[in-house]
This record gives sequence, C-alpha cells and structure tokens, in this order.
Amino acid sequence: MNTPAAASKPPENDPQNVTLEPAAALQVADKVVMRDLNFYYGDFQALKNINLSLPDRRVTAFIGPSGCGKSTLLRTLNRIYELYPDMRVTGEILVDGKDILEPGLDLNRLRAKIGMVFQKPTPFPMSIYDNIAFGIRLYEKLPKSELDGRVESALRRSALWKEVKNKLKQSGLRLSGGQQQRLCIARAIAVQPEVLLLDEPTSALDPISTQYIEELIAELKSDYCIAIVTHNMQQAARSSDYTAYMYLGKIVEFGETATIFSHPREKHTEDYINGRFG
Amino acid sequence: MSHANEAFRLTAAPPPVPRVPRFPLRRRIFSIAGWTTTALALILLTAAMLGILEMVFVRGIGALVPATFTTITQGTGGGLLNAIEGTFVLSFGALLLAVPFGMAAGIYISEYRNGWWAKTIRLLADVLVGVPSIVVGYVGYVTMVDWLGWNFSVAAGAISLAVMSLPYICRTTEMALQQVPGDLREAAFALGAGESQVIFRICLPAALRAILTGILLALAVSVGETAPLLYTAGWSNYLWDGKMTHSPVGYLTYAIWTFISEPFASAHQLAYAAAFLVMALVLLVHLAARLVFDRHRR
Repeated sequence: MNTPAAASKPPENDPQNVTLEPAAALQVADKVVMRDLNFYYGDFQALKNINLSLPDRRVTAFIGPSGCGKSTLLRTLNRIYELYPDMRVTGEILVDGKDILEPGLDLNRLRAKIGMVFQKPTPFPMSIYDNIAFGIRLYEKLPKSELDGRVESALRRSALWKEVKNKLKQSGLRLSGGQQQRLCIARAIAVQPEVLLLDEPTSALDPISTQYIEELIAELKSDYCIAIVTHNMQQAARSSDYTAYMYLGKIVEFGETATIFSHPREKHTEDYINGRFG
Repeated sequence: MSHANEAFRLTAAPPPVPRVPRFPLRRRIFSIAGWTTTALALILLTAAMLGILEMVFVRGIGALVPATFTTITQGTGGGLLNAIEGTFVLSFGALLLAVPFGMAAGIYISEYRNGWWAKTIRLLADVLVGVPSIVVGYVGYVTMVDWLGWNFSVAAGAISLAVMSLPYICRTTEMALQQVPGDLREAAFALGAGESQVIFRICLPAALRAILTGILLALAVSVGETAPLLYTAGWSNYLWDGKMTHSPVGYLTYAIWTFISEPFASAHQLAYAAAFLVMALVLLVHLAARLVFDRHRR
C-alpha cells in the first residue's frame, strides 16, 4: 500500500479562487480509468458506456441533475453496490492498471484502498478515538503509541484535532454535524487509502462546515486522487481541477474545471451550469 | 430602501400567525367522536388496570411478612422462598438458553433477509409466538418429562420457557438490526470491514438498546408464565436441590394458580403475596431496562 507523501504541503489553496496549476507542465498520471463501463439496477441502465479517467492528486467533480448517475458511478469504484441484490456492472475499472471488477478480488482490501465519505455523516456508535482506530485495526496490528499517532495525524489532517483532542473518549455521536463529517473524512484517510470518493459530502452541512470541508479537500489532494459528487456548482468550481457533467447515465462533457465553467463545448452543459434546468 | 428594511424586519420578527379557519361540521363531528372514543377507552383501561393493581398491591402487601422470604411452603401455609428461588432459576435458565439462539437466529434473518432459510425461520418464529403456552407446556411434558424421562425438573421447565421467549428475542434482534441506518453499514463496509466486523462491531452495538429491551421483555414474560411450567417444572415445597433433571421446583405463578382456589385463608395469603411479588418483579425488570439504557446512552 502506498503511504501518502510526507508533510510537503502545497501553498495554501484559497477555495474562493480557483487557480489551475500548469497542467501541461506537470505530468498528471491517471489513477483510475473507466472503460466501457455500464451499470444496471435490474433492468434499468443507470450508467451508459462510461469512458473516463481520474487523474492522481487531482480533484474531479461530478455534476449533473438528480438521477443522472453520479453517485452510482462513485459507488461502482469501490464496488459498494454489491451489498444490494440485482445490481450488475460490465466494462473495466482500472486502478493503477489493475481491473478491480475482476471476480475473486478481495473486496475488503479494495475498499480499504478506496475510501468513501457519504452524504450524511455516519459516525460509528463508539468513541471518537475508536471511530478513527476502527479502520486501522482492521488491517494493521499496531502498538498503542503508534496507533495513537495515526489517530492524531488523521484528526489533524481533517482539521478536527484542536476541537476533539481533549475528548477522544467521548462518543462520536455527540459531535456536531460538521464535526461528524470531518470525523468521517478522518476515518477514511486514517486507513491511508489511495483514492477518496466524496458523495455530496457537504450537502447536509452549514456554510461554515462546508468551508472547512472544502479547505480540507484542497489540502488532501496533494496526496490522493479525489472524486467528489456535488449538486453545488460553486463548490465544483471552487474545489475541483476537472469536472465531468453527467446526464441520463452518460458523461456529456469532461474537462478542466475552468474550461467547463467558462467555455463548455456542449450547450447542454452550459444550460445546466447556468441553472436553466436540473 | 424602505422595502429592504421591511424584509429585514420580517425575518427578525415572524409575521403574526394567521387565524385558524373553522373546520367544516363533518370534520368537527369526527374530531369530537374520535376524542370521546379515545377518552372512554383510556378510562376503561385505566380503571381495569388500577383495579388489578389495587387488589394485588393492597392484599399482596397485607399478605407479605418476613417469613414469606425466609421460609419455604408448608402445605397451604408457610413462606414462598422456594417459589421465589424457583422463579429466578427458571427465568434465568430460560434466558441463558434463549438469548444466544434467539440472537443468532435474529442476526441471521436480518442479514440474509430474502434467503429461503431466513423466510422459513421468520415464519416459524411467528408461528411459535402464536402457539398457546399450554401447548408448549404439553409438548415439553411429552418430550422431556415423559419420553426423555427427565420427570418434572428445572431443565424441562427452563427449556419450555426458552421456547416461549425464543421468537420474541429472535424478532426483536432482527427488528433492532433493521433499524440500524443503512448508511452506517455502508460506511463500515466502505472502510474495508468484513461482514462479521460490520455485524459485531457496528450493527450490534448500535442495536444493543433495542435488543436489550426485547430480552428484558422476554424475561418479564418468563417471570409471569404459568402454563408452560405446570407440565414441566411441577411444584416443590422445598428449595431447589441443584439437580437439572428428576427434581421438581416451585415458582411464584404456580402459587397464585393453585393456592387461590384452596379453601384456606393461609393459602389465599400465599397466592396474593405471590401475585404481588410477580408484579413487583416484572416492574423491577422494566425499571432495570430503563436504567441500563440510560447508562448506555451516556
């Protein structure tokens, strides 16, 4: 498993001000590659022939009207859809060149490598410390001191440490909504995944908490390949490097966020971004 | 500018509540009829309950003497120490058997909801709830007391009680697990947890309160059962000798059932004392449940 690069943080990203790095100069590697991906709920086809790559150490936003397949697409990437019956995928999803849709793959290991944060905060019914330690303990047997360190660094990275360092034994359920969501992000990064999937992570949060999370995303992208589903256009524009616009299970347009928001190729994309439908 | 001020003022102080329009006659009639029926039902139930409580508590407390707790039954008099002990032994014995099996079955039918096995187990559990307790007692008599030759015994009584409480524990466990938010399960799976880790580390702790309620209710039911024990535990005037089979045991509900129909005042005293003790025990179990939950929440 890759260990995220040490603390060489990028200059503070101002989320209000999208500054695209010189993408041409930096070679951007594709972390996740989807090829001819189709997804079916029973007879209904929710994803149609998706061909898309998620670059490493970049944030890719998925936007589009409700029911367009954004969340479904995210849920194929860690195969969480397999918890439910009657769901089927065809095509390929390559992570570092290896097809994760192969039968016989260790799903638990896959999911440990591809973290996910959900729309509603989902703290486990245990202490703040154990919430973070839960995922680490699944795959690593660490001495107490080392585990403490991992918990602390996950909480620091998710900007929660200052607020909870004196009450790590307190139940995670007693935190506020925004804190709970940061706890969930801390929990996800504590297991040192390589890809982070964020499914509308701020839609249940107040503006201040939303801002925290967006700053967090900007901070985290130095280490992870991040995919975020959002209904919030400003959020997509602020916090992503690339944007995919989806409609009726298809990728209508994909490109650098600045381009998509200023000069979309498709009329459809432009209409959606400008709020003419959706 | 005045417009903007207006808007600001309105958000600061909410507009006056509009007057509630009178409902049409039909709705008012239905409303009055509904409230009246509800009130009557409440009065009826409260009166019945208070009547029972009054009788049991007044006569029961009157019948309680220190000897009730310290001496065993002698003929139609004496104390209830043997019955109190027997009720505890039988009820906890039943729990000891029913909790692991009931919870295991509940977890199974919750996790594999739509499988053929799960559907069968769920159906059987529902059928078992509907089986009259006297039938459970009789089946216990035929199989354990007679066929296996255990005679009236703690084992036969506790197993019969366990059969009674098994479906409650199974179904409450299932329902409690179903009430655990699906998001929580997904989140645990998304971290790479396996099925057993998700069930035992996440879902069960989250459902613990509800499951404990079910177990304590099952305990309360066990304490109050008579019929399954009549044919299986028998009755004994003496303290339990510790043997699982070949040795009948006393219990409180038997004392109520038998001694109330004896023509002796001393027997009636025992019956009322036993009734009081059963109700007090059930009440205690419920209070204990509350206490446990409040602790758990904190």
